[in-house]
Amino acid sequence: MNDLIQVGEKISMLRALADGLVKLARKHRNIVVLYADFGTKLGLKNFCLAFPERCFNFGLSEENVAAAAVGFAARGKIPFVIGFSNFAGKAWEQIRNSVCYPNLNIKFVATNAGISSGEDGVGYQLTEDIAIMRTLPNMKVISPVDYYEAMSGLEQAFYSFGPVYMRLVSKEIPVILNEAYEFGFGKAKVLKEGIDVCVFTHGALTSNVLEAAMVLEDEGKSVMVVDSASIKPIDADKIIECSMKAKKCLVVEDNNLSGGLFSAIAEVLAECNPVSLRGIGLKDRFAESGSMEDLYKKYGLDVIGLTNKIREFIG
Amino acid sequence: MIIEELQKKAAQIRVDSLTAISRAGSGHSGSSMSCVEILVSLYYGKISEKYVAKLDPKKPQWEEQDYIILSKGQAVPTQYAILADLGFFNKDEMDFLRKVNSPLQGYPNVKVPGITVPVTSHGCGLSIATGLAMALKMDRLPNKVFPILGDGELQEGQVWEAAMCAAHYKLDNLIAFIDNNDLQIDGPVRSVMDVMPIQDKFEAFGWRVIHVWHGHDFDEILDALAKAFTTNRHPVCIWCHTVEGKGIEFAEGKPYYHDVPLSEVELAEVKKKLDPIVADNLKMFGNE
Repeated sequence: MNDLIQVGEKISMLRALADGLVKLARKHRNIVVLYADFGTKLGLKNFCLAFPERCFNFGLSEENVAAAAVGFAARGKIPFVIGFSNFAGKAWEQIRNSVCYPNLNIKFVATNAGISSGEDGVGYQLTEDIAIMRTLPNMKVISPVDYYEAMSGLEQAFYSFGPVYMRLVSKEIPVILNEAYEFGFGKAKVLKEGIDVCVFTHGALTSNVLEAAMVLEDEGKSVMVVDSASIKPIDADKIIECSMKAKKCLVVEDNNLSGGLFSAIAEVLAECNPVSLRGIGLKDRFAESGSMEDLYKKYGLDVIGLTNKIREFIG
Repeated sequence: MIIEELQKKAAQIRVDSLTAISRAGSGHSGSSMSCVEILVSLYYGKISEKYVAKLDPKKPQWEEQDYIILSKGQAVPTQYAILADLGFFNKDEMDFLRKVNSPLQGYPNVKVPGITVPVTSHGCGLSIATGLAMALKMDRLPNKVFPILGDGELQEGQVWEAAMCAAHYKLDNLIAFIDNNDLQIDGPVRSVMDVMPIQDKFEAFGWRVIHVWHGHDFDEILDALAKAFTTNRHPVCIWCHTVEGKGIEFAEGKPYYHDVPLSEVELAEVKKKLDPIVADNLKMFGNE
């Protein structure tokens, strides 16, 4: 099935979650899936049909499910706690105290990340999730750019000991990488070389950034695009290397810049290579209801908006 | 262990934990005293010649152990004192409670042998216990889980999320104690935010509730546990009426002593009363 998915095809990361979990659970008996309702919307149907005894619905109780995962981990299980991204905010205290502090092997998967969740509005668009998760000691944070990175990231999250926060986009977005791609914690990947500006990005916006880079390429401007899906640990070496190759750096993300990838990259560059750096994303504000496309357009994150902003920044 | 021995053991645990709290210069003296008999019953008590909880100090990660989870984590010096006494770790460690570089943190810490799950803030203990009980049921194992909750803790919404979940999954391997000492930092629980009626609430959530009128009476506690062990398809709540600061005559039922250490003079007074009982205590054996 998977090899039928071609570059450019639009597909939801939830399919990677559904396929990946079943694949992992076939090999590893200690995987359990815990979720707080929305199972059918999270693509858990396949897993629950294949492994009903390892699938636990906690109803709408996000705090309870995050802490109950601790009990499962105490018996050597590896829980995947899955929910809409807003559960990360609701259960943050439990994740901090009961999971990250004792460094337990629990994986949190949040779907509908950033403003991509769209129509449900601000309550379900946790645009600060990277900020609140990145700050937790022991926690690793991944925001894959497409189906294949989500698939590989899920596998790496399982094999890497300790808590992981993985944010997925449930809307259908274009595939950028291919089946051979392997995600690595602390590894950034240059998707396109360039020298005028280096754009770091993650999640659903990556395909828009690549398209904008191609438009600018036609205008004679050379834009480097870096997939920074591993937000924590961050690939400091690659960031410094890229910032030296390009004259200026830019971070594009569909969440609040404060505390997000923008902050993570600013922390690295401020210490090692202070270059001209700017962020494109939500600047200290909330979004609103609307389709993903309309929201991206309104906040200048669609291809046209990004092209204009990058062009202006290059000068 | 016969009741008289359990009473002596409780006196010893009181002295050990109060000494550690005083030496630390901070901690919850009153709150640690109200659950002494509950914890001593669980760790040392026997029902029909069998220990209540299956534990082995030599194997803190033992697969077959039962789990005692102090959800009212502020009372952890009592649990540390018991674990040290059972030989999970060296008793000298108690001198470093709440101090830099010591594993004996202010709330239950998994780095301490015998502490199996982290309890770092109020309200999370029952959820963790529920998850543990579900994992055990999933593997069809007979291990039991005993969380101990404070009454003030019942004000946390998360407790009721967990209560609903435990009944939904019919976790009869989960036996939760409520240490109803009726005090929290700001005063009597009933005046801060009343949690009553505890029995009606848990029963409405689908639990079996066993009432212990005298939460410092070993006979009553062990009797309640024996009844709990015969319950099927429902989680059990053992609701114990206790006295804050029990065993410290001048502090019993006084809100001031809830979260402060005893001064040297106060500790000396407690020791004067309890030391003769402790000296008379038989050398304890490790559980199992």
